[in-house]
Amino acid sequence: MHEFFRKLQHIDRRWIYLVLLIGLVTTLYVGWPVKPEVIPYVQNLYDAVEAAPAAEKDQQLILVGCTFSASTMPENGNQLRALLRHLMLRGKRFAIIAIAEPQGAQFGADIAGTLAEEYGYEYGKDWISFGYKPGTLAFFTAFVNNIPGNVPKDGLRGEPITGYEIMDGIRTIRDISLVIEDTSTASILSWITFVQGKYRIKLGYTCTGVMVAEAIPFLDSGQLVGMLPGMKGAADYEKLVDELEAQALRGGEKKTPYDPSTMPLMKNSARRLMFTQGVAHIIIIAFIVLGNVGYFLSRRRRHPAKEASHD
Amino acid sequence: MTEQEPRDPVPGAALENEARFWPVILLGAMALLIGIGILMHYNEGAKAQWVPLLGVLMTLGIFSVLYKENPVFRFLEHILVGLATGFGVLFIWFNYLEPNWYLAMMPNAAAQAGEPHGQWWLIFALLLALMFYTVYFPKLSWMNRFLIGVMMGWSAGFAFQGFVSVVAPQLRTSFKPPVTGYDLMQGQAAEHIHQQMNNIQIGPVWFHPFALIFIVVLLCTMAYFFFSVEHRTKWIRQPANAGRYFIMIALGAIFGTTVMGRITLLIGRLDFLKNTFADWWQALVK
Repeated sequence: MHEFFRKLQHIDRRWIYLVLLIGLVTTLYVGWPVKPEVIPYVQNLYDAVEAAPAAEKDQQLILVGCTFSASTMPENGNQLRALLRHLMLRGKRFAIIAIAEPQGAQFGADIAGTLAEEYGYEYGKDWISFGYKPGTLAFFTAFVNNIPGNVPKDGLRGEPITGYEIMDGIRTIRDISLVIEDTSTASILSWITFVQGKYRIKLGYTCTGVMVAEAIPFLDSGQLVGMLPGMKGAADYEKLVDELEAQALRGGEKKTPYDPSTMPLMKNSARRLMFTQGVAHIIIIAFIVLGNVGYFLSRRRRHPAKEASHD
Repeated sequence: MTEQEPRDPVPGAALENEARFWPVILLGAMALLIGIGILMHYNEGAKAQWVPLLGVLMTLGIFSVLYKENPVFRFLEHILVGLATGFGVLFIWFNYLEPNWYLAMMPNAAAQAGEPHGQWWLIFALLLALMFYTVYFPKLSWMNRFLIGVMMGWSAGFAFQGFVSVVAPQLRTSFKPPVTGYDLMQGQAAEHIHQQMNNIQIGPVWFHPFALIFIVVLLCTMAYFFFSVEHRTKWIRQPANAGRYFIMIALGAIFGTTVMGRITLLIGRLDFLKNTFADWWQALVK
């Protein structure tokens, strides 16, 4: 029995990987989209997007930062997809920009381009890519005062930015009604330091799970209007957007529901992947409990009298 | 599978004991990858077939480290780092440096019509950048120190601005009265926020329980880092002890979200494998 308790604490990590792998693969096949309880930060970002004036008559844009690379696509990619679907359902005009992460320019344009076909968005009129820009201090300070001067050409076609209809009336950061930074880096600090703090621009944040805890103080202080924390945030936001889309379908404004499998590299919805995520957490918690039970039982066996006196 | 394997007695000994044919095999694999890359560049059809296959092979190769450290994993790890770096360098050159610096510096012939050109003084940017490398020449290394000094001063100035922009609003909002004689949320979406914050109205007085929790946690955590007074008396020791637990809770939350993030990345890769295998299966049964 003692041997059993001892082994319980020293399970080869590869068994844990194997159990996790079986659990994840199984649920990827048999899982279903969860209906998550939307957390307040996500709801706040959703409300901020709803309130942001970015229609053609408003002469303002929403700026979406795509500062992520291939390594965090499951989190940042799903967040971006949910966010852009919301913008497109509401007819909000937007620009995407990749600050300090070259791959983000490509991924952002791919996701926006695929969704634009589905939602009937026209490049240059309803959305535009500012491409990649180095996230230096010099860029931020220049960009906020003169957007066309610092983005002379668009990121997709390489044509003069001022030639696009969407850029009419867009001169400085004051013409941006909301900035949403979708990132796996510390770029949000640059936005807070050089843009939000100085110009009081509304700033949203969609980040990887690792970065969530550090961002909470910025939400509390109002420096961020809302946040999508990791895959959970993407799933919550997707639920809100799906509800909005259901309304549009009922009202006849949209003909067919969005099919996530049309998106290369992200063929499953975040809500469905969140089911798998939940199963992974349960497996990990089970192993933690198992290890601790083994620890306490083996300790009790080693020091029965001491443990009994504690009781 | 067995229990945890004993560590190598000498770090790197495992690498030395590896079979000598591995470098040859991996060099061959790299040559093959370069060949496939060239083929994909000129043939869109080949690209559609090779990209998923390469993705699957690379993913499985990287996952192989979960079983055991091996040369294939290290090879793919280096490929990944090299690709990301190479992509970044080329992307920055063609999308930023070439149009904004190189072509702008060149004479009229090199630039397209209407583009900035002939700004020869931009060459000084290169000369300044090269000064960083004077660190390798002792007699000229003062140039390097000059540049570093300028950059440090510049960064310090903006760090101060950053401190004001980033921390000052948080200092302001840390003043949260737990009891008020008026509605703190007046003028905002009061009902929603009151519900979120569990604010309680008792007659003319508003009680803010989260504000009270915030103040207790803030003071206890600060007490833990307050070393000007020795932690001997209970007035400082007990809050500091509580502060330690609060810090541990915060670190636990950070660890929890980190695990969530990492598992998400694993799920993303497994989803990619599942979808690719499903596509291949469909192609086979057609």
